[in-house]
Amino acid sequence: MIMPLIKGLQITLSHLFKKPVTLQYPDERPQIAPGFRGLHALKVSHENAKCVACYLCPTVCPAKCITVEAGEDANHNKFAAKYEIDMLRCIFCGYCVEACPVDALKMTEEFELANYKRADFTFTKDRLLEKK
Amino acid sequence: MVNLTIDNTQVTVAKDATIFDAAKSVGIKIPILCHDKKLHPFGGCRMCLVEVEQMKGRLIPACTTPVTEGMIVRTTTDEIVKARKLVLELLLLKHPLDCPVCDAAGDCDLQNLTYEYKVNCNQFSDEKFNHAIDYENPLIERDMNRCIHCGKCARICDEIVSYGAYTFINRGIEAKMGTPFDGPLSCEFCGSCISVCPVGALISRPFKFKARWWALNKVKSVCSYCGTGCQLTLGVKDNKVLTTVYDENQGFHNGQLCTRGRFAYQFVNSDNRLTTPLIKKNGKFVEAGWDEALKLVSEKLGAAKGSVGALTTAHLTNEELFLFEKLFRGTLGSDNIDHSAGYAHAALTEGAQKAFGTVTSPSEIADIQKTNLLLVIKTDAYETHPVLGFEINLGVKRQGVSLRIVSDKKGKISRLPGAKTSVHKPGTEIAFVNALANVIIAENLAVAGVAGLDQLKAALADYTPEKVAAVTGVAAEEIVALAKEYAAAEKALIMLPIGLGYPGHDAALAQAVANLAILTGRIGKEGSGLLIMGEKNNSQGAADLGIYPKNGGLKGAAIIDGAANGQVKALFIAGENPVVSYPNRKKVEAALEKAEFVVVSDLFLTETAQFADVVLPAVSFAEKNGTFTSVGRRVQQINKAVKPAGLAKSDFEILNDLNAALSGKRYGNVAEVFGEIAATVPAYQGLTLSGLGDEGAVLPVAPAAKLNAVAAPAVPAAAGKLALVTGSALYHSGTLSRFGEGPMYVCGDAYAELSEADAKALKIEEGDAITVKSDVGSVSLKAKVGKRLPAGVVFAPYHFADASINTVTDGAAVTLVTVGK
Amino acid sequence: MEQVLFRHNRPDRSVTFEEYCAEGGFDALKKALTAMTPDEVQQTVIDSGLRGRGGAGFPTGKKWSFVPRNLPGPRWLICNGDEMEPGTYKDRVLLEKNPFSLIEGVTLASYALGVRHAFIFLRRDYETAAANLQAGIDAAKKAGLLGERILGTEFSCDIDLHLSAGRYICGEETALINALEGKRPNPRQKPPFPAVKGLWGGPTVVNNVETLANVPAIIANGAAWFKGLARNPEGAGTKLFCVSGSVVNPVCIELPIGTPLREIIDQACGGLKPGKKFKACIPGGASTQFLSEAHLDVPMDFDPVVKVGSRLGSGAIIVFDEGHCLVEATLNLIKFFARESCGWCTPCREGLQFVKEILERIERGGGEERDLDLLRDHTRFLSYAFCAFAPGAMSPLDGLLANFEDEVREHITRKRCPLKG
Repeated sequence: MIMPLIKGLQITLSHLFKKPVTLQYPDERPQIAPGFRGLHALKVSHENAKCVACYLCPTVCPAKCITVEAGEDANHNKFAAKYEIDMLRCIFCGYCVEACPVDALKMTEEFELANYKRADFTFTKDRLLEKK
Repeated sequence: MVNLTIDNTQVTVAKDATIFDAAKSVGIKIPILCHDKKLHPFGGCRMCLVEVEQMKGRLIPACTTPVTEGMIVRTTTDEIVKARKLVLELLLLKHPLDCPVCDAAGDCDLQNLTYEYKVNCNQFSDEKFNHAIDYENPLIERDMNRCIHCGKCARICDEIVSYGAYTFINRGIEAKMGTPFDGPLSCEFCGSCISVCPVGALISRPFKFKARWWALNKVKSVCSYCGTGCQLTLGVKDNKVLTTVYDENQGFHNGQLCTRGRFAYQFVNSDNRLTTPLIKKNGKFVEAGWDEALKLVSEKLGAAKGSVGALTTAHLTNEELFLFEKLFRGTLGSDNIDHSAGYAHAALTEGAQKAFGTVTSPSEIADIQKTNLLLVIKTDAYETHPVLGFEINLGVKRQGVSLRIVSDKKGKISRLPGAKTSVHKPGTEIAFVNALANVIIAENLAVAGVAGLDQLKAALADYTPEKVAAVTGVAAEEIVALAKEYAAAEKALIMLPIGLGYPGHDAALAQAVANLAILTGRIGKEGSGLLIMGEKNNSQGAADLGIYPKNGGLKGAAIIDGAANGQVKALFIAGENPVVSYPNRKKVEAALEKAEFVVVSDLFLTETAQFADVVLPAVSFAEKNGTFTSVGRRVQQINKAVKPAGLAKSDFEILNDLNAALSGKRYGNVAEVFGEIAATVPAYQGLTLSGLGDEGAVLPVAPAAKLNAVAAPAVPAAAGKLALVTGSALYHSGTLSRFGEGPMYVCGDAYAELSEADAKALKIEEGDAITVKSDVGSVSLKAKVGKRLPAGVVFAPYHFADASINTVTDGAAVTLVTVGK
Repeated sequence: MEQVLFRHNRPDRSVTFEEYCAEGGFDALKKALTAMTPDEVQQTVIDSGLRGRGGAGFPTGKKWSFVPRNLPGPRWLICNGDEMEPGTYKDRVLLEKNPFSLIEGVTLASYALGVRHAFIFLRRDYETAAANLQAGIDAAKKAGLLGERILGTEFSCDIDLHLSAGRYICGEETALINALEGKRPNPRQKPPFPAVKGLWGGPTVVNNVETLANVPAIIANGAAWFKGLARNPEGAGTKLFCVSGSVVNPVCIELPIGTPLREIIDQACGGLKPGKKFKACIPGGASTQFLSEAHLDVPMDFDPVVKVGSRLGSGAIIVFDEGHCLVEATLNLIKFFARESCGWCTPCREGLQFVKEILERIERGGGEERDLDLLRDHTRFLSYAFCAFAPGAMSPLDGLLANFEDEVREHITRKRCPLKG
């Protein structure tokens, strides 16, 4: 009857002398593991987004959070006239990155995505463009 | 029948079948790239190679090899798979792998086969081509880098469309699909080539980059332009109709469409659509709610009662037309209801009624390819109903049908192999046809025992070939020869297009041509008879449902007059645009101006709607359910593909609401009304909405043929004046196609077509601005000079609102005009 | 040696109409029209064992017998003179020396087949031959040997000379029919065979120039005589051999069928050029397999040559000596075929181009061992093409790999052409 109690206290006591695991965020920054899937970024090449608006990411997206609208530029090429990700729906599965046939999308280490307004969770193309 | 074994399965097929057909009939799939069931076998891609026991040692193509008795076929062996993989690798050698930006991805035969055969690397390597991409026209983009040389585009353009815009050019690896002199594409822009292209070498520009194929919701429907009744599959995404999707198994036409069917769907999504009811207050339209608008309309209609006039377009569904009839003839008790200006349906409602005792023509579309001799009244049959034109092409080229045309000008079908066109003076069709009847009677070619033969003989005594030759300008021998040919043919079918552009194609002409068919005993026989081609998608339905004055009410044009002189107290116009399409624009405008109360329900604020007191926003065919009845009496269903624009309501709802407000019956839904139609309209008896299925149902017909002598009207003539005839342009149908982008890209301006001789005499060149002037008015048009017109004849299509041809015409078959710069 | 086709030849000029008639020309036509029925003419040709001289060697009389006799509407005879196979020039020599045998042959064949209107489809570059033929046709017409009611009989026949637009594929019989109809010369789907549905949908027979030029002699002298001309028992008649390449005296010569290859090269052509040693030869034009020294004793008749892995083809012998690189020679031929492919079917259009590139690579010294397998695959898969063009184009490559694989391998292992410094 008393034994489980003692066992429990033993564990508690042992922790009193160990180094604490709590991270003092935001004063302390976490170590981001390789392959971490944070905020998306649209890669840029020759000053333009590499995305060709093939619609594979919205097709594969299980959360249906990506909206793409293609446009035709002056050279008759396809580009993403609109590229939006609704971060409130996104589950950060990374399928979009995997599906991309032109390696135009990546997931950054950015994880601080809190905002005050609902609309601010919709990341438009401008906000998603890779920052150099 | 032939018996053979395919992959250990016993197959029995017709003896003209190929191995591919035989395999398909038992569900064995043989991969193909260049084969199309509508086209002659090609055998170029070598994907369909199979092994035949009796021809061991080499692989043979399934799509071109006819079956033979006892054949033992294997469709997948290691050697076959290797050969097919090699073909794919060779094709992918030059094919740009730009699937992410190619609109064909997802619906690409090459892509699917590459996936199926797991061609994930290529043992070959080579440079890709860098052919210039043809962006010259706004509808069809040609990227020959993607071409896999299946030749389908060239074959469909040649075999079915009979245009011949494409051919292979150059040799060896440099061979490519080209146009004459390798220039930009210049053709009818029907887009058939796009529909059969197995890859993305030919793509639709209006749909370019709009959506991926797999993201489209495909909704089956029926085209809402002409009366052919082509089935469509609408590609819908985000509540927008983005394209028409090709489905080779749809309808009698196997998915084949014309320019307007394929490229003129954009009016559904147009930004100019009416989205809310409008009420005119102090000369200006003010947005209003439905309650307010409908209350005002029902009050005015209720007050006018029997002196209400109502015009509708034949674009409405059968169910809407039923309610239209119930509201105006039933609830309000007015017989002043009509459509298509009265004359454009008279061939059915008066002509066929008198000749056959029914408001329909006795033949079907399927008869076109089954006949031996086709007599087409006016080459315009191709322009008014292009897909029926394809049927004519196929009949002549594949089935050996003799084509004879009676027309006031030549046209595309005049150039078909063996076609003979008798070009008569404008407006003399009836005299010509009467002369044919005269010859048939005089030469004793009429079948024995036709009732009324003697009366007809007496009535037509004056129409001897010699006398008619003087009137029509066609040699007497030609008339006699044609009459004999027509009478001698085992099966003979007459095609008569009608419509707002053809005032001469009226009840009298219909009776005159019906006489020919009756005299020679062609009624009620397969591949024979008379096919009256209603102009709009539901012209036949409007006739069936009695949308025309039956008890002495005012006809279409008279209703407009009635609005001017006060005989019509309130005028309801559903979808019709009389200002542009009815005779004498000035008169129509003045009448609408004077009318006490005008309601217009339409998709757009049309030229007619501008004159309305209340405008009600209606919906297009893509936003509602219902049925249409096409030429040849096929009832087909349309399905709602997108939500109505804004607050717009279907005419079904509008008419139902009004009917209820005026203490008529309120009907539940489309199915219930269709049930009512099936119960009350004899031809529709026993039909149910769910029973129509994908194919639709052909209405039965029991013609009671009767000869009616008709007199040919006098044709006006005056020295120095040209004869203006109106009609349809190939790219347009009615006044609705103006709101589709495709037709407007290809044919955006009103024009008048002159013969080379007249153009030369008047010093007019192609593209000049010319003035066409008649007693009624004058209009400025763009000149077109063509070889097909005889001297002295001017042709102008009627679809255009700016510079509409009804400014100079007044409902006569021929208008005398002067033309100048 | 008995000369049949070259009997009327003059050394320095073309034979005249009068000379031809004086030497018994048009006697066969007179004999046939007056004393023989069309079926008898056809039967004589069948009995003679005459085989098509254009390359495929199909029995001529049998080909004629495929034409349905009871179909309404016109039937057609086309003489294929679109001689564009590299190495072949026999028809040109024949027509430049004597156009009348052909004209008489065409008329006889027309009589046998019931053809009212025959065509001679001639290569565009053969200007002398064309002028000769046209003059010959005019002369024959004037003499009442062509046109309406020939020699006062019920038989009428006209011959039209049509100049090709000048593409190798026009020599394929169905492509030729398309070309004659004014269409792009793509081969047609078989079946239906031209004998049933050919030119403008009518039954059509297409025969080579040399084949038809043999017919008058057969009718004049009988089938047995013709059979006896050959050196081997199963053969029949004589054959024009046109030799080119590394021989002292490259000539076009008429020899009995069955003459051994060695005899043609050593005797008729005077052997190899001084100091050169025989390495290989192509026995019947560009679309036949190479033969090596081991095959030199083969009798030049259709079946024996097939037995040693090649074809008699058109009888155009191209001789290569030890100094010639056969990879380069094959590449040269494949280049021609790749250029002349009509582009209709995938294997021919894309495959030939690819074979060309592999051979170029090997010749440059950049070949790899796996290229041999690729080439071998192609010789098989390209035979599944739409018409006989691609299989024909693969023949030299096939012969190269069968008889001279070591030479190809040497290119690969030594990373250069062993015959070039």
